[in-house]
Amino acid sequence: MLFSGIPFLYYFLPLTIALYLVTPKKLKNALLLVMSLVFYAWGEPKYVLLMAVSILMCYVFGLAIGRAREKGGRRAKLWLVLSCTVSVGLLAYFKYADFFLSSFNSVTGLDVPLLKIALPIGISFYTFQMLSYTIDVYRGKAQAQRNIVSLAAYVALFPQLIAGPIVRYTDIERELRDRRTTVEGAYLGARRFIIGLGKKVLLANTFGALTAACLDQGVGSVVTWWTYAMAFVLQVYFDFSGYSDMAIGLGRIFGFSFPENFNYPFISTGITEFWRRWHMTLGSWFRDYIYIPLGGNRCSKLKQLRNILIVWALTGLWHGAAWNFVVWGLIFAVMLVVEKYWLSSVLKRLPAAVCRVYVMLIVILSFVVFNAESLTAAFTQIGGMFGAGHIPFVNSLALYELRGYAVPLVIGAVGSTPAVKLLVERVKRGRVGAKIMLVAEPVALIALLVVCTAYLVDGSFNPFLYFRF
Amino acid sequence: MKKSILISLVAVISVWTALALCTFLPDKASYDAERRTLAQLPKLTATSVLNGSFMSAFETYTQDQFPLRDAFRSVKSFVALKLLRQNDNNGLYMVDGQIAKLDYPVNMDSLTYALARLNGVYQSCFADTNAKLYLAIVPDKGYYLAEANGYPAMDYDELIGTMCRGLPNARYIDLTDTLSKDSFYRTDPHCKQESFVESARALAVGMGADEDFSGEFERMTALTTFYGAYYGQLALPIAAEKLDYLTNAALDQCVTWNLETDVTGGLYDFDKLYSKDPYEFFLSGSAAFKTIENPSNDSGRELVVFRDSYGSSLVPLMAECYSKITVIDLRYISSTVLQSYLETTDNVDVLFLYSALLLNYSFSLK
Repeated sequence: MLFSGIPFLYYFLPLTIALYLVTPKKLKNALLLVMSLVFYAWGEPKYVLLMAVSILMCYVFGLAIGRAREKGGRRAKLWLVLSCTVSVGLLAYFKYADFFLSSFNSVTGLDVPLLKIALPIGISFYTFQMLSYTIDVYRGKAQAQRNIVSLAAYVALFPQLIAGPIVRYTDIERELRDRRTTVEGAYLGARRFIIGLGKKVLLANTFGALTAACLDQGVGSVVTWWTYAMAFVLQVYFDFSGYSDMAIGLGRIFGFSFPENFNYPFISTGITEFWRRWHMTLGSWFRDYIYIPLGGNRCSKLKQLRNILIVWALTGLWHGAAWNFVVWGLIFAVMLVVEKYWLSSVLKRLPAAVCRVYVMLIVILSFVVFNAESLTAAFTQIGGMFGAGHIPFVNSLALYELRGYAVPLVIGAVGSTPAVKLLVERVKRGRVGAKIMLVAEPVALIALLVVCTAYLVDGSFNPFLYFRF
Repeated sequence: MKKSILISLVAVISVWTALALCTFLPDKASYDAERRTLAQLPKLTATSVLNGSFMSAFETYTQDQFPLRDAFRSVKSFVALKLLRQNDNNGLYMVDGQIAKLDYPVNMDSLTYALARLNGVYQSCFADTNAKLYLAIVPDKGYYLAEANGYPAMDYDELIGTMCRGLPNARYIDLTDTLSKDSFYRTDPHCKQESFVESARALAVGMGADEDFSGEFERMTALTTFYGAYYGQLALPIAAEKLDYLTNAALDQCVTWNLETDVTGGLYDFDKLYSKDPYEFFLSGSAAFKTIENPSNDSGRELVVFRDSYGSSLVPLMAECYSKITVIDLRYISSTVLQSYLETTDNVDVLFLYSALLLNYSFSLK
């Protein structure tokens, strides 16, 4: 089920909130679990069982690791390895089997038939959440959860189930036991949700349409390909950060505090900073569960380099089972290494604006690779951005699309910076401004909800990019 | 502060809840503005849930049956076109009060398909006769509006050239100069009948049948509140327009006959004025096979027209010139079975009269 869909907004969510409010405290987790399973089954009826089995194994392994730790035995590690092998194995089978087989076929020239398994929605997200739980239990950072309903509610919690943020068990361990829904929390949650909905429906979908229009041009022009690349970067940003806003807002309504996932990444002055601001929960997951256990920075330069390459190849692969995703991850690995050992000192001396242009250039080019159907297509598209193939600098269709999307592009560019947030905060600080905002804010939120509903009723283009991950 | 938050929360939740509760209002069967039936609540079965068809059907149902759907679609259109200043909304744009549809580029596959169908008809029905073959293409609004206003337009020269080259036995009659942007209904893709007089004259002259073409018609109003097909699609508040028709003594006497329904009638069908598509007033709308007999013309001259909906209002104006006109819509009858219904004489003209819109999306031709 999509957050940005009529069934969720006007059937599922009101019903869930109403039931949640009348359900006794003891049963609230059970209610959230049931509703989360309904939410998941709406999009993937046959894979509910897979998720249930995964949760059951996570529960059993968590208990086994916890007990082994209490006894101080070595078996804890054994259970952890087994747990990780099963979780990663399921992910590898359902997400990567055909990728490995087709790569194997390409290298060997054999023709091993592909399995053609449909990707279970959200498997990358809930697998990582379960891994973090068992690893944290092993590390003693979390107590093994004895109540299977609470653990299942954590893994399957519908606000963050299928597209993150990647909430660690330790983030909401306390709230799973005891949480309160307050008027302030409900309002701030609803506000965050509606803003996220607006980002998704009004901006991401609009940029998605522009991206598609540019691709439809075929050969196009230099301007076409730059427009395409910039539109796609904005689409991904507003799609994913909008979804994260909606998830965080929903969590807040139900009394959870989910971690932030985006912090205005396009104002970064370096790629290192960019990844501290973009998909923050994934970056910190890889840092804490892969990079640091591999040795992190506390090893020889060669090993550091190896660690960075492993982490970023895996980051790329996490996003999709195709070589362009691996290359996309490795582009960032290279840039992070270059910044770490050489460029950071240069960037510090340059004006922030120049640094931001550099970051955006790398990000834009990398996301062309990210969205390409193949590496060949990626090279063709990047070539098009620099006039390869003797394409014209500009054509009438490119100008037409630019004219038609000029306002959304400007809104997107400004909206991806903290400018609006800072402005609102400044207005709120003044006595008159604060009074105006008392009325203006709920009115603006209602207007945004109505406009988003209007777009959804009209049945516009409405995919979620991160569902495939 | 807490009080203000409570008020804000109540305001937001009230609107949200009101909309949610409105979804329980009785469902509608059809929606006149969009001229289509609306999705109904799908049947809940184990199979439909397991294969996901219930969920996708339910999502369509909730969109279709959403309360105040009309108003919400207007809000979307207004935001897209007026606030975000986008070029079009769902492929429709508005220039000088005219709603037009983006239609570009030329779809060569579609032209090839259309040519195969039309050549097939010619070979099976007319190749061994003395029939004279003509081709006329009715340009769409885009021909007059798109390029001049900065919208992408199809290459009409390429479209016309391809059709002419693909039908070497047909003589092409150019209609582009007989129309203008004002020839069309503002809210519909079709031409107003009163704007088709010069097109009819050009056809009559082109086919050498103009000696009986008077060009003198009385203009009558059939409907004072006509909303065309684009009105509902664009969903912006636009004033209604009139639907007029042309007649004279000869046209009044014409008798039409529909092969499928075996119903006879006049050139204009007043019952259709209050149907979903009032444009069906002309020749009772689309029909596979229809004849028009003109008792005022005793020349014995016949015309066979292969047409789309644009022909509905144009062909009646040709009725003066012929004793009999056979009107065929290949979207509803297969070209392979046509021969058994056509009674061709030696004195027959054959006209392929298609709009640029249909030729560019011709896969509905049988």
